[in-house]
Parts: sequence; C-alpha cells; structure tokens
Amino acid sequence: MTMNSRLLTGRQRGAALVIALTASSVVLLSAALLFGYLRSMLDDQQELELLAQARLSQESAADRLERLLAGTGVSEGPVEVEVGGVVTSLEQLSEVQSPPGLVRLGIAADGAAAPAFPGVSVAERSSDTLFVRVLPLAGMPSPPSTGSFRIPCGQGTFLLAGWRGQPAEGGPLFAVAVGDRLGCSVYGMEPPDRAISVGGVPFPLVPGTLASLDSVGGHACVLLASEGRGALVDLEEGSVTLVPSPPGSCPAVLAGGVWPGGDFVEDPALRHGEIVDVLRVDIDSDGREDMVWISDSSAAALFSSTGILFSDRLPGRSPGAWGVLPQTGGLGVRWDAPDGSSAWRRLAWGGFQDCLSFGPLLRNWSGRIVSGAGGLAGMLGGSLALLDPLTGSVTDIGGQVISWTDIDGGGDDALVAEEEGLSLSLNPAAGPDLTQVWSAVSTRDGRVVLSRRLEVAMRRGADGALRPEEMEWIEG
Amino acid sequence: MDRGMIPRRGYSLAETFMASGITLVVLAALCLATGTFLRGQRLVASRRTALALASDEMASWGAGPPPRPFGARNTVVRAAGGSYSVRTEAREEPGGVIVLEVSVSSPPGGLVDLERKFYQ
Repeated sequence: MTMNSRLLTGRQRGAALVIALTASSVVLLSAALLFGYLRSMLDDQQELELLAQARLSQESAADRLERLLAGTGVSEGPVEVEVGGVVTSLEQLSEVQSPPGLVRLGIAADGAAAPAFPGVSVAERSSDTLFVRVLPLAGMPSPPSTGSFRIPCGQGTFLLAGWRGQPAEGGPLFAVAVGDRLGCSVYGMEPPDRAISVGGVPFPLVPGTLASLDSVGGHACVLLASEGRGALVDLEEGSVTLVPSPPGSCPAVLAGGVWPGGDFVEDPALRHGEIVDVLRVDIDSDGREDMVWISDSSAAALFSSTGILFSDRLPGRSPGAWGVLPQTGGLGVRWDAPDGSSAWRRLAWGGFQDCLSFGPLLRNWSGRIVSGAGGLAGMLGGSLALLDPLTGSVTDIGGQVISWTDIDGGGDDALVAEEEGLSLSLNPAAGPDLTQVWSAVSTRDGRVVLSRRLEVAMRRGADGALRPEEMEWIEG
Repeated sequence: MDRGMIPRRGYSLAETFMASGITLVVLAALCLATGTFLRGQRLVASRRTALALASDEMASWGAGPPPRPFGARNTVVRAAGGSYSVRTEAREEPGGVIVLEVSVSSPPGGLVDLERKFYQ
C-alpha cells in the first residue's frame, strides 16, 4: 500500500511536466503553422509579382515580333527578349492561310463608299437626309478629320465620288451628287465641315450613272456619266458642261482632259444602256491608263495613246464576266446567252475576237474578275472569292460585290454587301491572309514562369505585303 | 502513522519553476511568432496593393511606347490606408529600345518593380 502511494505521487509530478510540454508543443506547432502560412503568402505574392513581370516580358517580346514581321513579313528564327529578369522566347508553331479579311464600314447595305485617301468616305440615308462622313482605314495614316455632313436628298438617289489616289491640293476630299431623273445637285466636301454646292445640274441620275472626282484645268470637277453622255460640274466656278460620248462608252477624264471633246448633241435614236462597270487599266502596256466600259449589252475599250475605240456587241448576248486577265492575254469578256451558253472574247490589236476558255475561265464567275499575285478574285458562286489558278483552290471571302474601286491606292478593292452592312475587301487578288501561332515561354533562372500562345493575324496592305494587324494571347 | 507515509500533495518548487520556464519560453515564442505573422501579413497586403498600383501605372501608358521626351516622374498615391510612392521612368536604350520602368515602394518597406520594353 505504501509503495503504491509513493508511485502515484511520482506520476502526478511527472504529469505536470507532460502537460506543460504537451501544451508547449501545441503552441509551437501553431507557431510553426503560422510561419508556414506566412511563408506561403510571401511565396504567392512573389509568384504574382513574377507573373506580372512575365506578362510584361511576353508583351515586350510580342512588340519585338510585330516590328520584325512589319518589316519583312517573316521572322527568321525564334525571338528572345529579356525584361525585368524574365527571359521570353517566342517560337513559331504554325502558319495557316486565312481568307482576306473584310473591313466592316458600319453602314447599311444600301449605303455607299468611295475613296477619301487615306481614308474612306461613307454615305448612309436616313429618312430624307444623307449622312456622309470619312472613316480611317487600319494601317493607313489618319485622314483629315471631318464632321458628319448632312445633305437633304428627299426620295431621290445619290452618288458618292472620290479621287483616284491623292486628293488635289486644296480641293474637296470627296463629292456627292443627289437627285433624280429630272436633274441633280452636286456637293464638294472640304474638311472639316465646308460643303460647296452646285444646284440645278441638268443631268438625270438613273441606274448606271457613275460619278468621279477629277482635276480638269486645275479645277476640282465632278464628272457625272452614263452611256453616251456626261456632265462635267466645275465645283470652283459652278459651271456645268454637257459632254457626249460614242455608244457603249461614257465620258471620262483622262490625262489629256475630258474624253471625248466636242459639243453635246443629244441623239434621240440612241438607246441609253446601263454602264455596269468602268475599268481604268493599261491594256496595251504603254504606261498610260486606258479605259474599258462594260454595259448591259456591250463592251468597249479605248486606247488612250492612239484614241482608238474598240466596241463589241453580240446580239442576244450580254457580258457576264470580264477582266484584264493573264488567261485571256489582256482584256477578256465572257458573253452569256439566255440559253445558258457562253463564250469568251478577248481584245486583240485589231479589236475583239473569240478566244479559248480554259481552266479558271470555265468557273462560274460573274462581274469583274481581278488578277493579282494571289490569283483571281471576283464573284464566284454567289460571293466574293479568291481562286488560285495553279491549284484550283477557292478561298471564299464572303459578301456580294457592289463595285470595284481603289480605296487604298494599292489596286482593286471590292465594296461588298453583307447581311451586317457594307464592307471593304482590300486587294483581295493580292492573296490570302495568314494566321501564325507562336509559343511564348517565359523563364527566370531556368524555371518556367509563364507559358502561353500568341496568335498573329497577318493582313495584306496596299502594296500586297503581309503585315501583322491583330495579336491575341491564348492562355494555356 | 509512519512520517514517511505522509502523502506529498502538489508540485515541488523545482518542478514548478521548470514548468513555468517552459511555459514562459513558449509564450514568448508565440508572441514573437504572432508579431512576425502580423507584420508579414501587413507586408504581403501592402505589396499586393503596390503590385496593383504598379500594374495600373504600367497599363495607363497603353500599348504604345511612352511619348518623348523621356524622363522620370514621382507621385505619391494613397491606397488601402497607406501612402505609396510611385516612380515611373522611361528611357531609350541602344538599338531604339524604349524601356518603361515602374517602381512602387510600399509603406512597410520593400519595392515592387515592373519593366516593359518597346521596340521601334
């Protein structure tokens, strides 16, 4: 019994130390946990700071890549940059062709667009008022800033006219004709918001009427033209001169002045057809711009150096597709008959003559076909498309071509109507765009901090060269 | 009764000293740990705010290079109950590389640096 009491007392004493040590252990463990938590918070924060720097390093690398691609269109080998202690390496993974991009103009499909170099003028009707403004084009210098011009247009029709290339010094940036079958008014728009107007122009705005802005005798003039006749409106003097032209053509301003010269004599027997397209191209390779007119029933070409006009008309047939193409050795026109048959004819030195149709010419083109380094572009199967004549592959661009014009000074651009409204396809014949995918890996002291992919959309500029337009980061 | 048989109740003085000593040491360690943790927590929160300020400052320059002439700018920003010193410096390096550097010093100490390069 005595022994048991002593033993019990000894255990009690030991228990005090055990309790103290246990409590201490718990407290020390808690402290260790606190330190561990604090360590992880600090590590997380350091990681966040490193990640922020890695993103900036990748953006810097993308900036360098953009400069390299903008210069030559290609980057030879990987791109490596070091920013804030983080090294980012960009390496190309893939490159795929993509359809030439469309530039959405943000106006309804019944609007109009014309060159206003280096931008584009757009017109849109709202009730009985026409709103016209100038939009900038991506990759081009900013155009002069203008407000939105408001022109009363009633229920009539309107035409928008722009310069071919650089606007004349001090002249209007673009012009607008508003009217109907009885006559029209012409407005020249000068930035920022000045409008010169010439009213009471005795020229009907009918389907097939074309408008262009030119410099004649040092004066800015608007030429309104339809088959067989035209009206030259001098915006500076306010005068109007009526100009005749042979059937199948319409007046035009050439290097030597207004073609053709002479007094206007209305021919009551002349049936005024509808000019559906006008091409200004150097057909005879003499370095001078020649004229081609395509109407609903005829084709005509004027060699500007000689003044010789060739005209072609096939009874019962109408032009279905045309263009200055390598496959036709110059200007070629496909004549369609109501029974579905068709035949290509080409312009030779002696005039138009039959030619063989083969390869790309056998496709179901409609309207103008333009040729470029990337192939042939035009309306194919109901929408704008690019055909590679070597492989036969067709790249659908989309939209329906309303007209062809040179907006950016780099060749034929198509104004197309889509469900969303009017869009521009800039130099579609220059070839397809490209989409490149690059891997971006950022490291610090050999450890990978951030890994992403960079998608680079390469678009063709006015010179046909590919340049990066959009860059998008893809996480993961 | 045998004197030696009297049961001993409670702890001895030495035992009490030893237990108290251990407890005091542990409590001191706990106080230190708690203090350090709280300071560390303030530091992390402050660096987080500093990082947000540095990122905002960097983003405020946009995607393009900073306009000329280059130089340094110092501002003081009050945020999250503290006062932060923001230094922004743009300089040109050989090869037409423009460097934009943002440094934000947080009140408990420490510097958050971000750097971006622009190529021309």
